[in-house]
Amino acid sequence: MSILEQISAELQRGEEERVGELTRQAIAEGLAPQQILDQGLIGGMNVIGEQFRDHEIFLPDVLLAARAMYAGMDELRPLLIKEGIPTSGKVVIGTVQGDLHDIGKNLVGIMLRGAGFEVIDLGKDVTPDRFVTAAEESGAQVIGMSALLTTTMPVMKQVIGLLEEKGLKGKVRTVIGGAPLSEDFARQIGADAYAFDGANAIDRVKALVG
Amino acid sequence: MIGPEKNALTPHEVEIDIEVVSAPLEAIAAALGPGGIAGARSAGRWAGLVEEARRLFRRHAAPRGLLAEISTDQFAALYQGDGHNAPETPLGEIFPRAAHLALFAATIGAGVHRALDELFAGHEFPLAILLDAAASEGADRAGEAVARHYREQLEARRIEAGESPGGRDAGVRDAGVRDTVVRDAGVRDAVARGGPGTPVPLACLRYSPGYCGWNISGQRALFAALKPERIGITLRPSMLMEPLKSVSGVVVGGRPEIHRFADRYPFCADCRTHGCRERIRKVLESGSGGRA
Ligand code: B1M
Repeated sequence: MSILEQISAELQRGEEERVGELTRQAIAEGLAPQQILDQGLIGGMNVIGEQFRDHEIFLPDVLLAARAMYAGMDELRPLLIKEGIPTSGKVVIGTVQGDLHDIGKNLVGIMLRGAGFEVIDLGKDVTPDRFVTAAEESGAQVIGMSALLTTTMPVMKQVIGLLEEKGLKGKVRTVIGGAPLSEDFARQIGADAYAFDGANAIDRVKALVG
Repeated sequence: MIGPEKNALTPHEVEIDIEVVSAPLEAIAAALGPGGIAGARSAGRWAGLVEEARRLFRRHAAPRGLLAEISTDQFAALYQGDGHNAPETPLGEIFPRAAHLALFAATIGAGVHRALDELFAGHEFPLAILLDAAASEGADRAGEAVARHYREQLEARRIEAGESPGGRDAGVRDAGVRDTVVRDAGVRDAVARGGPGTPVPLACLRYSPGYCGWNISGQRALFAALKPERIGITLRPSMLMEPLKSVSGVVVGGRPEIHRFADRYPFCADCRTHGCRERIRKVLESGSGGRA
């Protein structure tokens, strides 16, 4: 088994220390950071994402794999930054203004990072202006919004309105999620996509940036 | 005594023991979605993590509860809220039949959220998700502890007044009625047979704004009356309570049957869980059944 295959396999098993060690070893052996990232870390997380989507594994397995992925990323990040290696895309995410429910949003962030996206997590209680400004400043292609209360869902429409006002609608795409939301609601407010969970969010964001 | 007391709304804080709100492993595991932990490939590594999450929970949680009795008339006015409730709701039919009503709020405090933020920042996702699950479960258990406290208060009050539980057969002295419906098959049979002197069961169940047609905007009227700020819970304009792991609502006490309703309201079609069925089953069996 090549070292990249080993990284991928250990990541899938959620062995964070092994992933950290192997990533250091791969760097020391002179493998290209992009290759370690794509074939080792993201490669492993892609398998995890697919297995989760197909209900072959469950959330606990995903969480351990994600923690292992971060162990590898911690080793790799300085090199990726130094070499200016692009990510799969940039996504700004947050829980909308008035809402503090962030566990779902955090899970979505973990999954998107695992799929190789750069995620700018604005946290919770995020105003429409902060969403749009962060997307403008970072050059993100997608804004991902989460809401768990019916009373905070309208904020999503305000974000889309602000994008329109600034002439960014279409350039910056939007994906929404959260328990009370639906495909229908996404259509009504003009969001580009609705995702029902983290694995689905990866598919939706890939389609939007692809 | 029939019907909620007139001299209502004297809120008092309810002491909640940390152990009462510490969820067992199975309850925390269940929050991890279908399959829980048992179904996971990595199942063997999780028992230790759950234990660690429970330890963190005990360290950071500070459960508090608040309770205030309210009369039927007062509650009828409060329940109108901002006028956004569904035209017909289960609670709308249930509360007028109640013998006792009490507003409540409970929280496990803000400390857990600070711990959660730290865990996420440190990429300790497994522990963070488990602590979050323990905290959600803990908030619900805190609500249940307040409801249980109310029921115990009511039972004690009746024993003192020489009434049988449930209030119907006032004047019938019946010692040892604190747990009328609970687990006591003899009492349950006696209740089923009816007749004079029969202990009448008292069942307390929680109902919360945001569920079953009680619009979440009802939080405004509830907060104005109960003032949960005194136990550290504030309400945002979006109707969200801070700290997040908090619950609110009304405890409805009365004969178990008053809690029975058919899930055929228009909004039931949107409900993913129909958890009310289980709660009604439990309340008919044991006198308490969680939140609806
Ligand atoms: C950017 O792209 C994307 C893509 C996908 C995205 C995404 C973004 N964001 C999310 N997703 C998606 O992917 C994630 C991963 O799979 C998922 O994220 P979720 O966040 O949905 O999932 C989490 C991982 C797990 N899910 C959760 O944590 C929420 C589960 C439910 C059952 C729930 C829980 C557990 C709780 N609650 Co309550 N709670 C409910 C919830 C009903 C439900 N079925 O969802 C909801 C949100 N609560 C509700 C209510 C009413 C309340 N709760 C309350 C309290 C609580 C607990 C404290 C007991 C507990 C903690 C909540 C928490 N998250 O911290 C109260 C409010 C609390 C407050 N602070 O104000 C209270 C107001 C009740 C009361 N009066 O006491 C309802 C809101 C109704 C409304 N009208 O808005 C509710 C929908 C239940 C219902 N009626 O069906 C997907 O939605």
